[in-house]
Amino acid sequence: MNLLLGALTVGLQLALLSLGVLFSFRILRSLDLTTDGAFTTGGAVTGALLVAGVHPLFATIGGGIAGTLAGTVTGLIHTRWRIDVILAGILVTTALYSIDLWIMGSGNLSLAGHPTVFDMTASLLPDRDNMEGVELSRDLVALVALLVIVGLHALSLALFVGTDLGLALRATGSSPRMAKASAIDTGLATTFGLAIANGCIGFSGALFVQYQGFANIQMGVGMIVTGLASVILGEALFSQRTIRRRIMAAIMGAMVFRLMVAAAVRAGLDPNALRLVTAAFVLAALTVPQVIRSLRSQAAARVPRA
Amino acid sequence: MREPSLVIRGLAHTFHRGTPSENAALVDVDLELEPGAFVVVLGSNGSGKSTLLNAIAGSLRPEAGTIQIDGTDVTRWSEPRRAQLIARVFQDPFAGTAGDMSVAENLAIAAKRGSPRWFRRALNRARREELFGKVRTLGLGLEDRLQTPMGLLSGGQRQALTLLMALIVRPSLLMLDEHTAALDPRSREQVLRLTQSFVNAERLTAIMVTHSLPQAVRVGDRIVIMHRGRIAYDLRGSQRRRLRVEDLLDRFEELRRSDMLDEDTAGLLRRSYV
Repeated sequence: MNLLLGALTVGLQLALLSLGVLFSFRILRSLDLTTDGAFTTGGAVTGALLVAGVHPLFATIGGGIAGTLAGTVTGLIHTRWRIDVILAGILVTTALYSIDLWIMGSGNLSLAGHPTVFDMTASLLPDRDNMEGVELSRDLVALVALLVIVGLHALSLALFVGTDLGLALRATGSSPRMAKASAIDTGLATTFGLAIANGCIGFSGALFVQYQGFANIQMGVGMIVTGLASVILGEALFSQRTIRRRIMAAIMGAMVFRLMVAAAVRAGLDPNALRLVTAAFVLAALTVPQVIRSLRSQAAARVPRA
Repeated sequence: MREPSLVIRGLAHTFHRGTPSENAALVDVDLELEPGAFVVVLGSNGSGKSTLLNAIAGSLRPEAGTIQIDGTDVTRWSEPRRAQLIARVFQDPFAGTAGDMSVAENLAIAAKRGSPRWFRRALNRARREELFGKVRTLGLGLEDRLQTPMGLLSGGQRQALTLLMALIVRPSLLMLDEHTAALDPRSREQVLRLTQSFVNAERLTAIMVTHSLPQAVRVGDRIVIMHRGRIAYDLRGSQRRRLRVEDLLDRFEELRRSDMLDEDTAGLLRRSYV
């Protein structure tokens, strides 16, 4: 029960990461490596703000804003100076490493003794005598709080993609020539889209550090791959017919991914192998459809000769 | 007299300057389009007609020359900014529309060409009904498929919608870049007929590039033939009205023959006769 609860709770935190990657990788069609940096920076800023005594709500929002800024910088480097988006993301993530160390003061920042959003939600619970029950309901309340947060976030994104500006961003990713011909400044739209994507990711990092109780300089490493795995899993399992369903699918993908990870570790998978397995999964998900297609076309080419 | 819709002065552009593959795509081109003019641009591959279109649209910045649209100098404007005045239909039927967005969403984007885009909901009931009516004018039955992702439609259907998108906000200039070349014969005929009826009904100023001589003779009221980066022939008025496909073939034959003279002779002839 606790394992399931924990997996779903972390899954919801990473759902925001998944939404960010959906936005950059699928909607804007840019492989944005700022992801790793924005996740850490979001966590670092939130951690530092909490330690400084800022209200947990504002500290969390601060993490989201930090991610937004990181995405904006990547977008500007990419669109103003025509640096490849992958390199722009690497540059920003590299630079953020130093900035995160300054923000946190060291490579590890403990939040022990500083109330987080999860303490806030737990304080809503009436006092109980049974300690074990309290622990469980604490997690349950955290889960409910996350459901509300992620739900609101997803709802605002779902509304946004249907606005004039949202359509402009999606057109920029889908058909840049059409976007330009429709008088859309594609450079500006890309920058704005990367800002939104990394805002989601920074927000994800902000929740993540509060749940685990500390921020760490390494916590963002490989997050792009985790995000990709979540998005791809969501695409494989859930309907993609409309953009709103794709948003839903990305959230569900993150939850399923965490459940699979929890189940795999429980079944005896060496936790050190997790990253290897995740990377292999993403690689397979991206290449298998291609291989199938080429096999099919080869088979089709063989038919007329027969 | 009314102000011309498009004025091009001294437009010049050379690709790969200073290398063995140096290619003068545009050489001192002047062109003026009266409001409501429908010009067909002809020319063989490499004659500079695509470069001319790209220079007008702003996807290519020419080395020299100026471009005015409705009296405004747009030479230094970016491509998206110029798109406030210019509507384009590309040769590739998949370039003019966004495949993973619905028909209605594509049209909603086109409807905002030249207006600011903020956080207003793009498609409400009134908007959908308006789009329904506009799509019905195509006569292709697509008004019942407004929710369909654009990627599921055929090239001909997408090109017809691209044309509608180009005209949903009245442009100062419509540019058609071989927009029927990649279509099957039936869709080609359909899109061409739609083009003609729209341009005539709205009295639009339009430039159409094509490789098809019958098409060139059939539509438009003026024919410009480009050759080696210059405007070789500009056929208009009664000259244009009398024109048949055979006459166009003769012009191309003349150009081909003049190409056979080597550069020196051509220069000599030009110096002594022009």
